[in-house]
Amino acid sequence: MVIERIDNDLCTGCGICVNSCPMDVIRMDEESKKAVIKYPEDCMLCLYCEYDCPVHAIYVSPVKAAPVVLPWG
Amino acid sequence: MAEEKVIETGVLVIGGGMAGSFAAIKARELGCDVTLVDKGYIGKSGATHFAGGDFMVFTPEWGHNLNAWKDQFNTRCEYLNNRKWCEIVLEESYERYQDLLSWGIKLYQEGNNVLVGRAGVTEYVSMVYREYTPILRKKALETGVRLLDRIMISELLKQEGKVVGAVGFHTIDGNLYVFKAKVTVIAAGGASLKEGNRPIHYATSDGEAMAYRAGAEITGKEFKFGSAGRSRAVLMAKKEGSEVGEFQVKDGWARFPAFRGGLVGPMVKPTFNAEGGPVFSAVWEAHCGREPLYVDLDAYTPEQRSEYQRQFNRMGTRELDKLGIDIFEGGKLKFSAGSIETAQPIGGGASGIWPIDDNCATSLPGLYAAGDSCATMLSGAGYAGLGSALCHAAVTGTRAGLGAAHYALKTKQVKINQEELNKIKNIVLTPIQRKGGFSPSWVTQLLQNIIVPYFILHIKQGERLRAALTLVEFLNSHLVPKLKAEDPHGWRTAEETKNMALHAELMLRASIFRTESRGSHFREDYPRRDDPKWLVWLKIHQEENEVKILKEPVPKEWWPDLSKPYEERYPIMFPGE
Repeated sequence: MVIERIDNDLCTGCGICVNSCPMDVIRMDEESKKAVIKYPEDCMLCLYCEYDCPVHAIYVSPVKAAPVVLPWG
Repeated sequence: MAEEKVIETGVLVIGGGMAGSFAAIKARELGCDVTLVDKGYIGKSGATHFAGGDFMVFTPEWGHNLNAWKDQFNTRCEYLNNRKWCEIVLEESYERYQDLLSWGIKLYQEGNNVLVGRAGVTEYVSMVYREYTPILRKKALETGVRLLDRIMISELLKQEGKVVGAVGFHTIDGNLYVFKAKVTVIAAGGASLKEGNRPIHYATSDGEAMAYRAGAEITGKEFKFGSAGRSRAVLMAKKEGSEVGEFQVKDGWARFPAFRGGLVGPMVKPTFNAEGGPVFSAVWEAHCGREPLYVDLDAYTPEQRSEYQRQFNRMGTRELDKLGIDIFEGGKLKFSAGSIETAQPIGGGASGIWPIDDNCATSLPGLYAAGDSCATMLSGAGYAGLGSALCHAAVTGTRAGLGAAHYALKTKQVKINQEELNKIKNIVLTPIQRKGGFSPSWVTQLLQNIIVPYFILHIKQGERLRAALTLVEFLNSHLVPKLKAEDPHGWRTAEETKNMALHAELMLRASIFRTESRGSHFREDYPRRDDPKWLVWLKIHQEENEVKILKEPVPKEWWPDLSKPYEERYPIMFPGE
């Protein structure tokens, strides 16, 4: 659910996704120098990280963090 | 180990979207030292970037008739729109549009011409999605504005009744930031409760909340997105019978192009209920137990399908593709309106900090407001129309920036009283220094549970509102002061929760106070518009921890013709009328 995967092999460490995320979900790992999902619980499924990654390393699942229960079922 | 950084500046602009960028650029062009600060990354964060890019433009050159546009505002906004601001925004929209073009903003084209969209009589251009905010960032940098990303401002600094700066923190390294400014512009966006349907979780009422805590007046809290009188109050839709493989989930609703959130776009409205009857007000259908609601895409006319297709092609269908849904295949869409949005404002200047003059100065000397943070009441009780929000942001941003610059040029830097500064610093540091406390996410969930069901802020009623207010007051007095942040990221979450709790309380208070229905404020117990008694705006402020609500009358010249029958003044009927 939410942002699920940043492919470590594809990631070049460019940092674009870190700036693209309005909710500060993604951070640069100091050791690997690559992007990591740090706070997935704050992901709001805007998909900017996925759109902006130049090497398509990011996958965001369409399932929200909090399950939505509908009023009618 | 967190450090304290002190930054002295002439004009401090809080929020780096359309309004903040215009304010910063215009102030800098007058020669001021300008600092633009944002809790996210300027150019990629915030509602400006998310909005889709529609920008209302009024110009007689395109055959526009000012009176026709003003009439549309007056009716749609149910006479609570500030007509002075309507004129200002419309008349300055073209200059701001020219500014954007000169800065390199690209627009969607239709052949060789700029694509112009229409909503009733008003028209708008469309900036290429997600490409315009990076250009605003670039222009601000080129103009010499000092840009600071990832710094969340928590409290304003006041001295002798004037705003002299602000205190915040860096959301990654946790350093404390003290800004000493001659003048401050709040352009920190609108409000919501991080509800599920729209990806606007950064809109947490930050600007309005810090201004309220400093003593400013807040307006328009009884109005919000969605109306009980129309079928637009939908939250989520799902393609019925769709086979979507591993993505067939009960709660992963098709979020059609990102900026539309859970809405299926303005063209797709539910047209019949579970009993096969017509739908005029989606939320009323929910209230009467007639959900789910449906629209039958097969019944769409070719014109409707092609307009619908055009909207989607503009924004992309990545979310639909993810769910394996082809919306144009036809079939039925199922809707639910039982949970509502608390997003504010809804179309430019419908809620936020009350401006006391045409330059967007607030009642606090040294404080200006712009964009979604500024309640010019352009949208009154309704919605000024597609493209009004970004246009309003550019116009108010410019006026606030110029106003603030003039103020700064004739003001000396104030020496900050250390005791006052320490008091504010302690308030700001509380969540990160606490040993124990409440989780901000948990308190946010409590707020959502109380407020989001439709029968609190959508189909309002006095006793339910008061019940909700009792709980929210407790949240504010007991839980919010004990929010705990685990790290600088959590510190931002704690701040946002604090601000959302205030947003919820003010929405409830304003809704209780206005004993009539109008625009997006509908009360079951007062289901009619009550002219002229309620041709007023409500201004809320706090004085020595007491909440005060004052009525600001709408000028008589702006009243509807009271000799006309009610149905003529208000063509949209509320449920039960």
